[in-house]
Amino acid sequence: MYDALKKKLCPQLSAQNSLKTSDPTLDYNCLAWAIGRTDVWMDIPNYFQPFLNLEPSTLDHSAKGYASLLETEFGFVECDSSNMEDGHQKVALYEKDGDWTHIAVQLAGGKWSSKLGGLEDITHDSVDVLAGGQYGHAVIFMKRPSN
Amino acid sequence: MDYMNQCYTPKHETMKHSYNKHVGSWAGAWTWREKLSRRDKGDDWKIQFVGTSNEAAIAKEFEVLSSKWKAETSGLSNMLHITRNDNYLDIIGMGDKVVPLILKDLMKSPHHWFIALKAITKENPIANAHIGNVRKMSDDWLQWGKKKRLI
Repeated sequence: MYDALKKKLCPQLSAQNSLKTSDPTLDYNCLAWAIGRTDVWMDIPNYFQPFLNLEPSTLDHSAKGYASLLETEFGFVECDSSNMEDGHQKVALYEKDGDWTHIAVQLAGGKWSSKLGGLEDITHDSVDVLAGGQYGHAVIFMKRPSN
Repeated sequence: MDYMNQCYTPKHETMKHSYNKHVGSWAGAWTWREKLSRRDKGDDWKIQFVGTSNEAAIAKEFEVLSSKWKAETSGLSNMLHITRNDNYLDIIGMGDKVVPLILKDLMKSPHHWFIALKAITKENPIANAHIGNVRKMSDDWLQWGKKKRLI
């Protein structure tokens, strides 16, 4: 059943294009993982302290809405592509049916890392590996200076 | 609600079969979800129970819905998608009787039950400092449940 769930989540995911890097946990989600945290499940409006102050009527649940939060709260700016850029960390935001669904973070070697909701972390070869299922497609790329 | 001595006569065998399959006994527990669906259909249903409300059937229904919810949302991060899942909404529709079952599920392992608990109970015992920490948010609700003697 577990494999069937992941197949529905990301139909293109396979042992050839990804590697499991943790056990399943609800301690954190993809958004927390992307900004380097494993102690919080982050989402608007009720799952992250800074987001509590956001006016509910203005909340934008699209990828663009989340991109705006990543810019104001975490210093990311939108960029053109998923290609590696020296001195920068990149993330890819996914969207399906107008709603943000997932965020992946690029690793130093060019591969990507994702926390699959309450499932495990994985590394994956490209952003497209997670496309086509419940996550939809990567629609926005962002970058910020690496630490 | 007094369920005794009310008559339930399904008009359609398909609906009886569906109800039977879902909760195990069409003469068993009556849920608010079923009641509302019939009211919304505008049918002239009568409702019959054999004996009192069936706690075992309620627990069974919760288990079925809960398992489906967890399976369907396990890979998701967006809380809108997690809590707008039909199974999750059906659990909220079960009302107060399902609160102890949710709390017992939290005792087994933390999960995103907080929005359901808040929707049913109209309370929110989560400390601000715990927001986003699923384990601590679960503990806040479990403490609330113990104070209310629900667990």
